[in-house]
Amino acid sequence: MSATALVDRWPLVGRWDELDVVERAVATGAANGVVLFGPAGVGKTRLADEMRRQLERAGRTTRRAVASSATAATPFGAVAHLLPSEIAGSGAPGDDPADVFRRATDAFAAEGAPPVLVVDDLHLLDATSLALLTQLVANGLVFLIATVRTDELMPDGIETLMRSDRVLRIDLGPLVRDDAETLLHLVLSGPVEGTAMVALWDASGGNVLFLRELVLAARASGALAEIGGVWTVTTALPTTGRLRELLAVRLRLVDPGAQPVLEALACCQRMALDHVAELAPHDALDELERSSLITVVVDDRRRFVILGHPLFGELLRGSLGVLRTRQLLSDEAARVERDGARRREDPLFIASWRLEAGDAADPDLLLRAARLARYAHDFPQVERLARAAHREVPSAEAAHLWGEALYERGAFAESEAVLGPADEAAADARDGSQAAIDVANVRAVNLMWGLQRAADALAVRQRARASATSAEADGLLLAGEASVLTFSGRPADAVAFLAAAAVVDEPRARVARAIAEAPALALTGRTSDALELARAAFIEHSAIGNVVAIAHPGSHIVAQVLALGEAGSLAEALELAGVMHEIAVADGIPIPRMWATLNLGRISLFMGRPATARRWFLECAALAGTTGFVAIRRLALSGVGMTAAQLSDTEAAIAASDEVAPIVGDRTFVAPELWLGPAWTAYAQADPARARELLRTGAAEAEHSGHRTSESWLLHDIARLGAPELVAERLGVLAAECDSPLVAARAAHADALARHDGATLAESVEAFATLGAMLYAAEAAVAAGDAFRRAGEARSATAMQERAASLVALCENAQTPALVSAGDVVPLTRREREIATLAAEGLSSKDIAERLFLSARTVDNHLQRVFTKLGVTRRAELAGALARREEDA
Amino acid sequence: VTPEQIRLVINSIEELRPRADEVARRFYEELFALAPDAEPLFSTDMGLQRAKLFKELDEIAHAIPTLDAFVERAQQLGSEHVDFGVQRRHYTAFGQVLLSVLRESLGDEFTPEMEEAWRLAYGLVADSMQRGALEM
Repeated sequence: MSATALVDRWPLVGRWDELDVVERAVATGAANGVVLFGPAGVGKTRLADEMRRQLERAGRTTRRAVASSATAATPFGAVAHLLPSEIAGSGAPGDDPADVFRRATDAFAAEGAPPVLVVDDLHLLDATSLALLTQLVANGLVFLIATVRTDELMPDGIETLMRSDRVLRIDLGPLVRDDAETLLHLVLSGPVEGTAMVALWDASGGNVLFLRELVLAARASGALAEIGGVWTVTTALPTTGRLRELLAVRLRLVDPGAQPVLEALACCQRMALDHVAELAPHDALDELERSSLITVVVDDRRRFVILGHPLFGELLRGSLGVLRTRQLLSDEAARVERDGARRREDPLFIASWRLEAGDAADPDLLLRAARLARYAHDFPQVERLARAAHREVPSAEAAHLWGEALYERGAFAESEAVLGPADEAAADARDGSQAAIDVANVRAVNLMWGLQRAADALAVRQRARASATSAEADGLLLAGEASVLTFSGRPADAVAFLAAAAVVDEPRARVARAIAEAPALALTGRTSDALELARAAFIEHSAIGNVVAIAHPGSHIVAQVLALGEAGSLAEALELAGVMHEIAVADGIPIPRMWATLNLGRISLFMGRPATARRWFLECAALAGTTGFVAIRRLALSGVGMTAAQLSDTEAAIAASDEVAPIVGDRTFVAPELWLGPAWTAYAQADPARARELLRTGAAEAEHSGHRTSESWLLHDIARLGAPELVAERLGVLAAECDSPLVAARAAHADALARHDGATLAESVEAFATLGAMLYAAEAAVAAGDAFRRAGEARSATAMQERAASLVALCENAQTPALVSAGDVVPLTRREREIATLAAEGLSSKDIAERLFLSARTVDNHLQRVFTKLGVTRRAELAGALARREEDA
Repeated sequence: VTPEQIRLVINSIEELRPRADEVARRFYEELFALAPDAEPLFSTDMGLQRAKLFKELDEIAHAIPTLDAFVERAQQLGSEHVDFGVQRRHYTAFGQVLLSVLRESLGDEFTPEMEEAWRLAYGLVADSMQRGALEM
């Protein structure tokens, strides 16, 4: 037994608990799959195989998906052989990928008892197969047994799969020492002496593959010998610190006649046994199999060959040149074609291999593959396949898929270079086909978001609509046009445009229209309508699935969050945005995550949590920076500037606001709010007059474009910065025009501030506190306390002061002027008094700085604190305030 | 498991054989406390229980020097145990309790070397039986 046992497959030792987990999961129906995680060589494949055999004994049938870096290049590459031929094979172009997915799922559902699906090296699965697999597992249509190498980069899709509680995760570590000893005793048919065991154990660290290679090498060199029934080390073990080196040594010892087999398998990863047999004589293959360099796998009555371990493939590929690799792929493609490409997966593989080999590939197949990859959001793959298809035969569809993939990775100019000519050509030909419309749509989105050219985007939409031939296409283009209006800062125009447009009664058109209409309704103050529309659209969109040329269903969640926030339903908005953020983070999708953080920042601001809001805005700004959403980055930085100013971090506020740089006539999403950051930064720089002026400009922009809720925010901030009488009336008008309790509360607050009315201010406190807007509530309470004191109502004044104190405690150290009571006497520091006295004498900050050896900025910061403590807003008021202090003291 | 280790195992079994009743009583008490569902797998007759425990211990000690033969027999043994209703976790519980009872019964005589010998010996046999059960 000894000689054969060594090179044969080693027995399974230990791992009984892991087998139990699967047995129980199947028996109780508690899970639809198990994924084994672990480093290379730890024994994942061996254990997965044992699990499979266990389930087969229980009467399940087994299917196998072959994941490898070769199949990863082909959408559905890993599972093509399991799918109906019209899906995997060369079906009709123009198939709806959603439908392909549905039919693929149905094919499994038709199997009766869910089959066991074994996927070795799940991390190498192409994204399309992984997406399908995730659906199959979620629906209990297969029982998955998969392995994942943890020393490799893990694709995002695996995270999604593992988030399901229907999938068990097993982290497979090295064998424990006792099990390693048992294993060696079994394969060597005798005990291993202590020192030898220590040496083998130390070198391998319990990695089974490593242990095996060490023992094979030590047996071959005679370093490990049986003496008196015990395996003993006679000379030093041929140890090397690295498994790869050991494997490389073994590859070098392979018979040269068998070398072509290993090289071909390293490139193609999986070949029919017949094809392998053409490459080497039978006894050479036999020897390769006996020494575990290759493995013959039987699947669905077909026999194919793979390498004995993925590490062999990595080592071999590393030593193959580009030309040799191309030759090997090309040869195998030719062999498959020669045999008639009978298998359902063959055409896709041939296309993919030919593409990789640099040969001419079938453009229809490439396009088909690109469509499937797009459905799985595998945009790098889409780019590769669609570009190749377009190179073979330029078409609108290839341009659409290629341009969209470029847009998705932020290559906006390149995207326009692909889509522009395709769109112009379609327009010249008055092409109203779906492919032409898709090109126009993606081009418009890229112009709008990527290149910041809203006017050009609108022109593209309008021209495409002129050649639309169906009601559905017309509806989609209409929605697209409205979307440009909404997201280029023209919500009132968007609402008016849609109100005048015919309603297209078709799900895709309805869903697309909602993406433009719901945010526009929210921003123009119709928050209930917006919320209702976004909720319905989310349900409808989820039912029709993710569709080409329409944004993700998550867009409707963003719209709901926006509507809830503008309505002042802050707790609900926060929760929904939080969930969305969590999902976006878990799925690693940056654009939805960016929208979630923007909204989380705004909501946190409304709630009076500037420190939290600042963190969200910073995250949003970073995400918008990497995804190329310049407009959203400016919006986020405005939020950063505003919150930094409210936290007295003047330098950070200046830095952020400098980048925002709003201009009159800005045509970006919620453009009026770009003025908030610079305005509050001016306040932090002790220039409240400038702050109010900037807010006024922003409010005028908002009024002009119909941003009613934003206008109410900007005007209310003017009131908070000490000029309620200037804005109370307009806020009242806005409150009447909007259905938002938050807008109404702002109006009431400004009105009460202007009238110094304690009782009404006290009502504002409660109105804001009920909404969860704690900073506004705290400011109203301070003002109410002052008003009561001035009216001589001491008891009410004290009660309000206490209320204010408890509210302020919730506001994360916000420092706004309205939190400073007229009656507060906060002592000035010596430096503050010094600077204040000089400023009161009329010296400029620069003069004071020179005199005190400080920077002008530091002087301004000190002065700002002085203003806050004294409750004044201008230098001219300093002398009087200082004098009153003297009297009081 | 070296011949030296097997000698240690056999020596400790012989050391305990005169106290078989007490050792067996302890063993089953602890086993059923740890794995109550194992109780129906064993006879309630104390004499049979004692005989069974020492038969298993002898099996462990003597299987190893004739391992090739034992591996073949393990399939039969393992499958019989499945028929009795023995599950994988029972092997773990059995091993844990065995070591703990040996430690308690032998006191200072239970050296670290002896403990390692028992652990490996039991592991080898239990593993072969479980794999045997898999192959049926």
